[in-house]
Amino acid sequence: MNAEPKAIGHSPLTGAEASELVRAFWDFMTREYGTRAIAKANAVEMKLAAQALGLMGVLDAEAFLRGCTTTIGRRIYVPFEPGREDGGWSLWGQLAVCVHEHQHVEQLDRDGWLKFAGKYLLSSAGRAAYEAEAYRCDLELHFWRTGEVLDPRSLAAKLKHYACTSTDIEVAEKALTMSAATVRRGGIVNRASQKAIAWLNVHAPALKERA
Amino acid sequence: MREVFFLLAFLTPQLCSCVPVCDTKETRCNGSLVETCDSNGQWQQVMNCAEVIGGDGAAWSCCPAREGDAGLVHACLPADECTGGGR
Repeated sequence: MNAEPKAIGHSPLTGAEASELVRAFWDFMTREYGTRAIAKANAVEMKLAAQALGLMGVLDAEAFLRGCTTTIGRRIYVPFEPGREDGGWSLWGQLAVCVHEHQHVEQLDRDGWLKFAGKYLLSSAGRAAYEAEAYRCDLELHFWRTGEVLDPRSLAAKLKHYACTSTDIEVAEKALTMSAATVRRGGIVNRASQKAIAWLNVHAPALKERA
Repeated sequence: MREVFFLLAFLTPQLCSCVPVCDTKETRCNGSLVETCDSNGQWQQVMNCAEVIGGDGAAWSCCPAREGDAGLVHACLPADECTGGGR
């Protein structure tokens, strides 16, 4: 799950060519992983989940349907149409969230359903660790584009919305800080980022804004 | 995934009977693995340096690195940046 990361310090990716690029990127990643992007607003299971979350007072149903991307198995429920600039999701945000969600697919493949679902659903520490790893994609993509490293503390703070304990958020911040040391030296750790950046280097090298 | 958690977490108790083996937020190298200590006092993998790419094809190794306000942490660094101590 991920809401759009804040785009800091770089110019927007916009226009017809950029839209086509983002569509092509989503096509590539979904083909690569055998995943499917599904319009969240039309998915019955997501509407039911939204109602349940709303009734529980955890999250506003509309915010859940329009503001968050959710991955379950190989189904990625998106609150936007990839390549289309509407609903508050920038094209860069659509691209970055695609990588983040596919890292969750990597985790599922690596750990298997039982371990992944068990740790994610039942353990605050496990959930924080999985999300910290996925947020490393945000670090890696942002660094590829701008040559700058996102603030690990800000990324870890997003875990407040995942019902993680404050200690687990601090551990996630530590993990992201350790990752930042690698990323700022040009290292790419996550497999989803490695695939994404290899594609971007070929198809969109001009997106790099490094000095 | 978060939402699925919310739907099920209320129904299922959390179990953790592990004996702590490290201090929360401590970091270390374990061969090529970079690890940090979680809130249950268990080592968890953050990265595997053997799987890192980039940096003009450099080999990556786990070693201590100074990272801003966080001070000294462990991370994957290009092998030529590793001083060999502090593991």
